[in-house]
Amino acid sequence: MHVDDHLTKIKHLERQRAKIDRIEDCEMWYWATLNAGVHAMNAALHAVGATKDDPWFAHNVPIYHVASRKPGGWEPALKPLGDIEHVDSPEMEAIIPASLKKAGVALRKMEHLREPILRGDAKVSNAMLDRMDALYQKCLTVTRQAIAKNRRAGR
Amino acid sequence: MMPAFHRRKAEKVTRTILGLDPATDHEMIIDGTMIAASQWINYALHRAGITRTEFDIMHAYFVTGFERQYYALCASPVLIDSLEAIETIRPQHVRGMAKTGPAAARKTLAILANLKKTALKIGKVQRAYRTAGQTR
Repeated sequence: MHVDDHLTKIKHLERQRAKIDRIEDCEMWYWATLNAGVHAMNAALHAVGATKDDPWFAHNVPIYHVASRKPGGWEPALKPLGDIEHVDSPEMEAIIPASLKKAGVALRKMEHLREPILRGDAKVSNAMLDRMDALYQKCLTVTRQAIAKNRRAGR
Repeated sequence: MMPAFHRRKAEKVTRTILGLDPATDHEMIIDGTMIAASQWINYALHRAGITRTEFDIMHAYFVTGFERQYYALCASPVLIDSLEAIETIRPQHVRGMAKTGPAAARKTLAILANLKKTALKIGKVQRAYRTAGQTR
């Protein structure tokens, strides 16, 4: 997708996340936070030129979809890396440049909380969610700096 | 995980997304229906004795052709078909910027409600069928 579309998605997800109780609704609070983090990483990767800013969105990378000319239709294609879906493999981590490494580390740590919070039976605590949010904020800070720097440079 | 755990998770996630508004919150609703759907499927398949409690289904596209046919015959085609339907609606609305988010969210909620009804009706499958086809 385009950088601005990823930033719009972050706004949507943060607004939705703010409507629910993070302990009572921890599964979806976690999921929204992780997804917003991935959108932030995608926006920054596009901004620094590591992946392409285009209208295609990911659906089981390397499969991408784009709106077809027929209204309501979608066209699939195999493409080189554009949007990523998770930072959980060496292939994905390899494309993250040095300027975004700290955001990549934060995202990977967020992914590690998936099993206990989303699918597992761990007792979810405020401390666990504070950690998740701190990692998300780190990811946002690093990616926003990269986007701003590249926008100032006119790229 | 045991069937009761999957049911609790499905009901918990469903409670969360039913408190959101399809008109403004479609991303989280669609994702929540996908997560809850997989929990209802695991609830039904474990309870029926079709899959072992150590093996959980997360996405329809990871289920093999054989497994899909076996689950459909032993339990119901509605299980995996529902998850696939949600996962088909999801990418363009959650990962992409499709403008039909509110209608898509309502549609996935309806699919989830039907899946839940089906999952709750599935009883124990005869032992002969379980041992003959169980791969997981």
